[in-house]
Amino acid sequence: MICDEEKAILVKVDGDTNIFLSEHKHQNQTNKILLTSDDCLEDYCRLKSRGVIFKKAPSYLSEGLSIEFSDPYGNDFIILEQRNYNEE
Amino acid sequence: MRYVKELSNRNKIVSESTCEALYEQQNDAYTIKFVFSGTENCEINKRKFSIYPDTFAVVNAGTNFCSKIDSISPVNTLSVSFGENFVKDFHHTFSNSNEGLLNGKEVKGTPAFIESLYPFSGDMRFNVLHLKSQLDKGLKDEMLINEYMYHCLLNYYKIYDKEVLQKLDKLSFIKTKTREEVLKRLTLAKEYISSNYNQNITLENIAEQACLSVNHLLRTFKEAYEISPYQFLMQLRLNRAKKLLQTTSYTLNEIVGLVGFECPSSFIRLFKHTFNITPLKYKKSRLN
Repeated sequence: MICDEEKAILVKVDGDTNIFLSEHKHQNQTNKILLTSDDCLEDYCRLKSRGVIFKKAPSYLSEGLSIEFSDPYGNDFIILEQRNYNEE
Repeated sequence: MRYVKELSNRNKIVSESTCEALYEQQNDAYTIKFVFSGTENCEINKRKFSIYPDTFAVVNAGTNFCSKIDSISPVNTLSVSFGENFVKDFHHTFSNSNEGLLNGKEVKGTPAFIESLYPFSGDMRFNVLHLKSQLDKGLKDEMLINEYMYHCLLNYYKIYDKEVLQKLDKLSFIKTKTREEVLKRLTLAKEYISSNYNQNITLENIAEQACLSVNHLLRTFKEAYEISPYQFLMQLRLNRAKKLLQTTSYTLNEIVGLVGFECPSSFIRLFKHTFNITPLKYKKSRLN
């Protein structure tokens, strides 16, 4: 729920994706932003070469490959490349 | 079509799509070889084996390597070679890291792997397919190529841990040397089955290739892999048949013959029993 006086920005990443950022006012408001990717390593290299500092190297989860970083305002970003390990 | 990509750190990638090829050379770097469609027949140290799309081969530096492609439809291959320093650095970091799977085991300057076939699946498959599609699109960024190659090694170390180190622990011999020798021979058995899966092969053939007696082969194979050589062969045939159903327009009878089954009815029964769907229903479901 966003009140009238609340400040928020809408970031248009590309044609399909919008990121909505608002002030941290609500208790259970998350500051984690999950983005999906077709190729996590490509995104990792691209962002790294533009100066993004990652918390750790790309890591393998049961859902797929992921990378994590934070912006200067304390928002945590997770980029996940979902991989289906059951289907060949 | 063939292209070669050599990076400044001496990492090298060769991608090829061809119906006919013959290479004979001393392999000068650690190399991992993949096949995306068709079969590549190889020979190392007088040992013959075939790489199918569900397996990849690892060849150490300094091995004499011979490969042959002879096919009606084009065979897509990718060969990834790692520069000596790249491998050394990786091996060192990996072995010393807390998460390292080789942790606690002896760290050698340069690794030497069991040269054989390994299953091409999971993260290794995802990463290598990304690398290939990027290269096909003309990727030039060395940093990204190296990142893919780094992950390729990382994935390979995990597979090596699962397929070699964990299997060694399952063998009940007391001496490490004996376990290593037996696993080496079992690897030969698996390699032989994988390369001749569509032939009429017998336990005696497999045992002979592995330099083990039939009884010894049966007992130790089951100990390491938890299935019998026969079950392993059937799994391979079924999985490769499944792939053919999915990717080709061969008829069911043709596929039955291609993967080495003698009669369609036993194939259909086994297929249904294993995947809970009949081959034809599976083919239909994949077409949609």
